[in-house]
Amino acid sequence: MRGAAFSTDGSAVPHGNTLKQARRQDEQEQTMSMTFADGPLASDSEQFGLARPRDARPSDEPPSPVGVRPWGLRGMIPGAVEARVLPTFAYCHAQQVAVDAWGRPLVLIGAADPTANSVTNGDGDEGRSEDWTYDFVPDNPQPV
Amino acid sequence: MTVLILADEFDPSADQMVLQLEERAVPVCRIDTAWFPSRLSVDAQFRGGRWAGSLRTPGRVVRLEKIRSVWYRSPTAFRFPAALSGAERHHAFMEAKFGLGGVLSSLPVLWVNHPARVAAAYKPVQLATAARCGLTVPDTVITNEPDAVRRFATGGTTVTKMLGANHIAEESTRKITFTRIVHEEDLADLRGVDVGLHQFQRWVPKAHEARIVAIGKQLFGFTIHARSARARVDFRADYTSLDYEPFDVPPELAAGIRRFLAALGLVYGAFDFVVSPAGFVFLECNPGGQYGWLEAHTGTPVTAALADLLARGATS
Repeated sequence: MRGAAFSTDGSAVPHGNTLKQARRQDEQEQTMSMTFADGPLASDSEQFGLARPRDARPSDEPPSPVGVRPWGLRGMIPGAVEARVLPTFAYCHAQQVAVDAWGRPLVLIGAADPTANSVTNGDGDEGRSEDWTYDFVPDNPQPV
Repeated sequence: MTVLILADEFDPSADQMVLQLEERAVPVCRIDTAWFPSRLSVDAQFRGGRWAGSLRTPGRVVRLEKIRSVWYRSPTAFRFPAALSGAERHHAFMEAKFGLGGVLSSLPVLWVNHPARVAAAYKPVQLATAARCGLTVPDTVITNEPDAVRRFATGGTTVTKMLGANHIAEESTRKITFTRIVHEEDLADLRGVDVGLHQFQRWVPKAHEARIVAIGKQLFGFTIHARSARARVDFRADYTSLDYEPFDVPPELAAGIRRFLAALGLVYGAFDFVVSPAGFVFLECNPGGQYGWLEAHTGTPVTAALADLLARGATS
């Protein structure tokens, strides 16, 4: 149950190198030929990726020495991620939203305004969205 | 017919969506996969060529055959009893993923987005796809060879950015990094480049940045103007210095975006562009990217558009 079964209503992948070619394919190709979900990049597990639990503890491992640690990690800044303090909330199964101690939906009382706090995560000013694309428990979580 | 929202318990955008759908009198069921198995049970039977049955939570029972659309909005990992061994936990996790994930992802309904399409987040795939779709992309190198980094950097101002998550968890805290300009002192010490793959891009002169949120056939453009130096390199680095304005997406750009969505099988996407003197330059598309803060700043009715799409259960 992969591939074209989950198509949008757009046209197929334009394979030309130019805008003109892409436009022509827009006009000509009405059938889907999407194969990405069948491709090798997404593991079986990753095709239903689940995010990191909110209360997952960070590792206590220290960074490796220079030369062992990937160069790209030199720009990492501690403390900037979790500085956003979530409001005290409970999830209300009846209302299907987060609520305060009095059962009031947080979004209706301004306690969960996406702009309420400027300290943020990877995408937008709304909290941890970075894990959306990264499977918390992949197929083979053990180091290899 | 019900709209199924798969989301974390704390998600203001999902809260807003629940309220909007209820205003439209559209049945909605919100589930976090973390509720499985203690607060979420599954009874699915394959009959008549499809999966039927129910998902049961403390507040709702939703029939699989009554689902009209699914908003896959970053649900969180299953939670199993602490008494399980590591091997048992992994086994239980994968059985649940293949079982619940398999049943759900087989449903022939509108998905925003289908979870299998999230793999579209691979940046090199995005760049290649964007170029094929007529979008302008920056010169990019992915390498673990220090000499390749130096060679590329001689061509002009260079930035480095993560291919994946810009966070790491270590030393009992979580750390974050943003796109950063590669300076001479960086090039003087490239130890560790060889350890893994790194992405380098040519700096694109920017008047400002733009996020374009695609919802089905609708596109919502937002300019992002930065007032601080670090936000001018990466707007995520300093939200306090940002100003936002809605804008109409030019037709040529819109056509390229729609080709991109079709190519990767996406119904929703949050596209980031640099707006340079020469035009829009594609940076990336986040298939689960945020829009709530832009809606809050500008009043653009993005949630309503997404609610309409989910309620309709079709992109047209």
